[in-house]
Amino acid sequence: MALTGIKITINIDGKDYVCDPGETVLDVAKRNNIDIPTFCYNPLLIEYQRLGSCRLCLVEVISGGKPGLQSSCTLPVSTGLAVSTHSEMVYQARRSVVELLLSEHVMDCCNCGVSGNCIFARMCRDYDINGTPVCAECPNQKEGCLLQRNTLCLGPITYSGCNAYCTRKGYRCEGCFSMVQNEDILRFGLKAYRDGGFSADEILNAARIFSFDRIALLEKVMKEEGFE
Amino acid sequence: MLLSRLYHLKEIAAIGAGRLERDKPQLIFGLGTCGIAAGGMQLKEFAKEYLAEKKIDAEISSVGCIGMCYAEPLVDVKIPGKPRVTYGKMTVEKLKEVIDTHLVGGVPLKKYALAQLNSEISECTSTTVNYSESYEGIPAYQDLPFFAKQVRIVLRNCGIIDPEEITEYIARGGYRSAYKVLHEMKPEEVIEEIKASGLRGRGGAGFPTGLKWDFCHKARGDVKYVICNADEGDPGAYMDRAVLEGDPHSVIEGMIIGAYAMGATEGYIYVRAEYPLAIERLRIALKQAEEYGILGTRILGTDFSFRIHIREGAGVFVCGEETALINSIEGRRGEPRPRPPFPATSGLWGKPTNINNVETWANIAMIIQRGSKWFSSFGTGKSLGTKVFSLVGKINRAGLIEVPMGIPMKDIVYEIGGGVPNDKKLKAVQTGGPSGGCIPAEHLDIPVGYEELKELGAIVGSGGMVVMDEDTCMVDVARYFLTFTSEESCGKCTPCRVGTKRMLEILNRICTGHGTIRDIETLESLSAQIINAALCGLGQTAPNPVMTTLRYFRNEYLEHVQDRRCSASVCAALFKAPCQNTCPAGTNVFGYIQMLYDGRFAEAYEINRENNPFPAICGRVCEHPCESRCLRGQLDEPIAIRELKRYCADKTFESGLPSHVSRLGSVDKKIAIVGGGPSGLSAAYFLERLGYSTTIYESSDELGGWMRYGIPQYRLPHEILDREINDIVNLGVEVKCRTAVGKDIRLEELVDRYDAVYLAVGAQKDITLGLGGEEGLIPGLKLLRDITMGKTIDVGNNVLVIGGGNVAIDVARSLVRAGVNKVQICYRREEKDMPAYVDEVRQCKEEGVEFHFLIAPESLIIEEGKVVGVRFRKNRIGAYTKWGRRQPEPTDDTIEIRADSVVVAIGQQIDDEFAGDMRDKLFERNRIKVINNKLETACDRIFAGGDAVLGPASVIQAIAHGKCAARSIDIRLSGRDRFVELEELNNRSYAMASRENDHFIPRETVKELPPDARINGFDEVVLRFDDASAKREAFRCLRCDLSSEEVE
Amino acid sequence: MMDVKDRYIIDTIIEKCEGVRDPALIILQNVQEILGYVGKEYLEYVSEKSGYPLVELYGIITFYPQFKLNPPGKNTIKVCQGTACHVRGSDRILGTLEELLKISPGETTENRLFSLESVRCLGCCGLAPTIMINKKTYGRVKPSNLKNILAEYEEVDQYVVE
Repeated sequence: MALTGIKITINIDGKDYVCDPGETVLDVAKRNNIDIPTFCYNPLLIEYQRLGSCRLCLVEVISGGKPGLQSSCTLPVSTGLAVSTHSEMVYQARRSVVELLLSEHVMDCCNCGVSGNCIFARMCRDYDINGTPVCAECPNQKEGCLLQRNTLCLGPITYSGCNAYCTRKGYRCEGCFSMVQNEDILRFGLKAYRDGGFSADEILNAARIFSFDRIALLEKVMKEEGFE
Repeated sequence: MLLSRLYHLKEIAAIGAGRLERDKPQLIFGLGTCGIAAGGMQLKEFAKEYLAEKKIDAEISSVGCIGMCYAEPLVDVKIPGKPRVTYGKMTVEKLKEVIDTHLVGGVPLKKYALAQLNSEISECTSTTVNYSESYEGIPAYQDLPFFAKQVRIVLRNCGIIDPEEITEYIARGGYRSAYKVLHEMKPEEVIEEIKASGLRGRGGAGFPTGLKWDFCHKARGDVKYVICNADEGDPGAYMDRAVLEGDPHSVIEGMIIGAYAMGATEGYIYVRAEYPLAIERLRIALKQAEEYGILGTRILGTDFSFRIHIREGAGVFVCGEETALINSIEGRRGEPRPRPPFPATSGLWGKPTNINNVETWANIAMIIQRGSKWFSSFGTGKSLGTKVFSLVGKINRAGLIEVPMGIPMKDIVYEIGGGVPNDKKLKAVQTGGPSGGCIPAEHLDIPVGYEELKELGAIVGSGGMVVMDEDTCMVDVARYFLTFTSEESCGKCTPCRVGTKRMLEILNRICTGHGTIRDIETLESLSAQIINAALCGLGQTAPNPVMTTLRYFRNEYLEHVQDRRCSASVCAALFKAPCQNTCPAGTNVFGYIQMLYDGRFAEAYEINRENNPFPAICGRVCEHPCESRCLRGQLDEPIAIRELKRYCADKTFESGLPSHVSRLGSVDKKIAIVGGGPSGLSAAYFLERLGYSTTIYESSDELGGWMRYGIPQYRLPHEILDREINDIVNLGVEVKCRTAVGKDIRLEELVDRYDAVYLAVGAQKDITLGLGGEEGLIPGLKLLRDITMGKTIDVGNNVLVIGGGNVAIDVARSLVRAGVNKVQICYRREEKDMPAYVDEVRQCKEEGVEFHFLIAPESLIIEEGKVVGVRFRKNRIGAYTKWGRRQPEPTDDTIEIRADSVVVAIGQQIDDEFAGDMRDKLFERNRIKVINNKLETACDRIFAGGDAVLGPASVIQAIAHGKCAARSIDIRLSGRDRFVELEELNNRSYAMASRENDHFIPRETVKELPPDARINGFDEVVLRFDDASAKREAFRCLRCDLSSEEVE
Repeated sequence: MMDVKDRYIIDTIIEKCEGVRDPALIILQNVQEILGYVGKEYLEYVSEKSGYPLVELYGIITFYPQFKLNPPGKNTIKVCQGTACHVRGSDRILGTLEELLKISPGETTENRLFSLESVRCLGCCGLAPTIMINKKTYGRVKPSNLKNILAEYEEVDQYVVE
């Protein structure tokens, strides 16, 4: 529905961009290769079907609109609009959105088909979230999993962020980023260990090396799960 | 008939006036939803039959809610030419009486009458009712505290007119504004007028209404819509319902004016389906308006056409958000849309749309009628006009009120609402529902306005005002609201859908005793992110209840996560029964009452002694906070817990059984205790049981402290005191009486010689008046001590006691017993503000003591070097403070009271002589400072408790401190918590056979000596329960600690 | 199963909504009001007659809690869980009702006499705590008098059975 001839200029991250009326900020950003992450956005959706649901594409309105965060996929361009795509406020908000989504996410990395190409793991790395285990970054998942080769890898219960350095080289994860403090993730990890036939003592001993002060939660979950 | 000329309106108005002021006696029923719920409909049915049966020539009509929900059901009687008289809390029997004497006999029944309507109580200028006469002896409406501060603009017709009669609305000036606007004003003029009035949206956000109209007016579009938002979803708010039920036409008129100003031809009213009566009355109102040509094509004789449709909501909170509401009207899932685009440019079906809430619309006609200047004369700053609030929760006069904005909140709560029931303390006022916040008592002097409340973290919101008292747990309140928002979250955006769920999980964890300090931090950071990132208003405000409770009641959160304790006795997982949870010493109340009921007195006494070494003493003098929380009190009256405690102690003593108590093996550590009062003795008791050797240093001749020297024998006989003190000493305590620390031995020396020191020195130095020439006055506590020690006292025959606390009462009653003829007590506030126990005050009066209230000492009258009286300044009761007491204000009057001697008993403070050089390190202002809840002081191995830390407090608090100090000392010295081991030694079963006691059973009362028998000596005044009463009383216990499965 | 009467009712409802813009919600509200619930077969019939896709209708009824997918009991008890009722002890009211009826909110008793629901605010905060049975509101309810309130409805039913 762009009116021919009339153009609007908006400012993204300090630079001016010319755009058509009716476009959204996200449209302009995509066209100019400015990185704004999205989950629920689909280019096939027409204007009024765009939802602003996932809140990942939030940008901060600096001037030319109500100051604060707005979802860029629904924010129409207007003269004088200036937004920031990577301000501290944006960063914190996106970070908490990923964290929240992650809290609902089933961390069954060892049986996940994306084989290391995990959007969550990437997001977690970008936004410094210590919620995902090393498995999420591991390229050897499923058939290549070290646990299935009877090697006690600590990947399922260790914080990611190391880019799965060891497992990429074929070594087992030693747990140097220390143990995840999330019961659900630990539970899934234990399931993987049980399937691999490891004992509680073996796992605890291995985990103690780098997580001696954070072992209590694992012990609690083991007890609840009846893991021996 | 179609109205098209002004005289048509006048004709209709005349008809309506005839209905309002009839020529027959009239019975008027308040039939809003609340009135019907309270039984108004049954009353009306009864009245119909009764009038027919008795052939009484009178008419029956019904009106909406006038706001006095606390007195529902309401019935009014109107005799032609006389004022309407309102009767409250009606029953069929009362109504019969009212009909017979007032409706038929013409004489109002004063005993049931609440008020009379003898002048206009609202801002309506078209009063038609004859108010010339009034009845004597019935308060006028505006003299009721509930109405005195109200300004009724929105509620102008509520409770006055029959909402199902358009003629009555027109008689009260209705539809004149619409007529004026349509015939005489341009749309721009209307918008300017609304802008000038300063009216802001009453639905919550407070956006300026005129501006909103202007946006919509200027938006391009052939079709525009106006919407009335009546999806009042905030729990605790019902003003919209009351307006729609009581005066639907005021909303319709507002919408007509708005539609004309913005150029809209269609209007929608979106009402909650939970309000069936409001929907029905709206339908009737719309139909009548159409019949009169007020709605429809070419209305009121102009070319302007406007129609209104009703759409019913379907029970979703988020549909109160304007974009969600639009989706719902469009017949879709009511999920909010991102803004921009705003509804003013693209709203309902993509057309420019204006949405205002019910109350906003109801204001419009009055603004047009009386002008923006008049409207903006109410209110303050940026909050102009009035606001309707529903004042509910723990409040004496719950109801619907309309007040000018800017009124201090304390005026609303205390003057209009009458304060908190049952003399409980107000904790917070919650405003704005799930999007709002809790305002703590210390901020209650805040003016109620948009900006002011926002600064405190709350919002005005739609106007729900829920009063919460000390029985409310603020963590539970936060959890309640998060349960609400997480369930009502539509699920569209991540922060709200997932974030509220996570927050709720954390709060649930805290409320069940599994929370950690980190959880509190997570709550805070999560709240901040949800506020920033959520899509709509619901999500952006959802964390507010958590944020404000964390801001003002952080200590309650800490208590839940650190001590696993909920002192309001709400979070069920953290306590067994409210009585035990409330007792500072943690006495197992239900346990000993069960033993007592089973006839096992000695065991009952032992259960008491597990947590409190002085059951017989507390059974007489305890302030019994447990009883105020007893759940039985919600059914009829609380259990007489204190009297039962005394009963089982006395019975044990009478039976001569020795007291037995559990102990751990001895430990080779020595503790010094400074002060032999209740706190010091308790500490010794618990420390000895833990195996320590203790030594008590006491400056007086005997142990007991306040219990011996501050409480007269007629309340606490010394043989009881001695018995319980001896039981402690016999555990092996070394006692050094007549040894004053600081004088006979230095504190530093104690610290060197002992492993730990507990300071329980009490507060026993009388506070002076500060008037000059006070050497001639007698300090109250000193006098009590002299009387106790049997010294002869020479005070003359006429004594004046200044003060209103327990000491003042004790002094007065002791003087009566010492033979003084005339004793008078002077207190600067009202009787109900006296800190003394109510029972003691009553007994004191029975014994002939005279009371003077509202006088404050100004100067002493000294003749020949002797005090012969006091000159007092008379006080009057002033405004409420934010704490809910009325402040005494000095008047110009003085009064002189003469006496042979004057006793001052206005309070005590701590005597700091014992501390010597360590004073500066130990004290903060006039008290010893403890640095944590373990009662540690700034000096290593020195602990402190009791009055020296708290200021003058109660015996049970002193005991609790002694217990707490013993535990802390033990943890400090042994490195573990051996109290648990001590408790494990007493493994008892308190099994109960099922008993049917949940019906009304009155509380047993204790007997007292008659006044003339007690004033001649120091015999104990209150007698213990006889066996049968005690058993009956114990039977009443509901055993709240047991779940139903546990009852045998 | 749907009978002719139900079909007729739904036909009438849809007919009455002619001329109303976007009537899906209104149609479903009427079905709920008159037939007591919006069962699967009703939904299918409404979809067939009104032309709304079934998925859209299903989306609506699952969004608004007013709609019930299963037939409710003869009497519906709504326990207000508004703020005023909460601070005045509505939890204990709900708990007592659960005990008396031996069902949880959202369920129906075995004899299909009562359905129990916990609802937001009934708007009678001045009379808290409140419950609503069918269209009648009870204010200042105490746990101890719930038995008597329920009895009002039980007796009527027994009379009908006999």
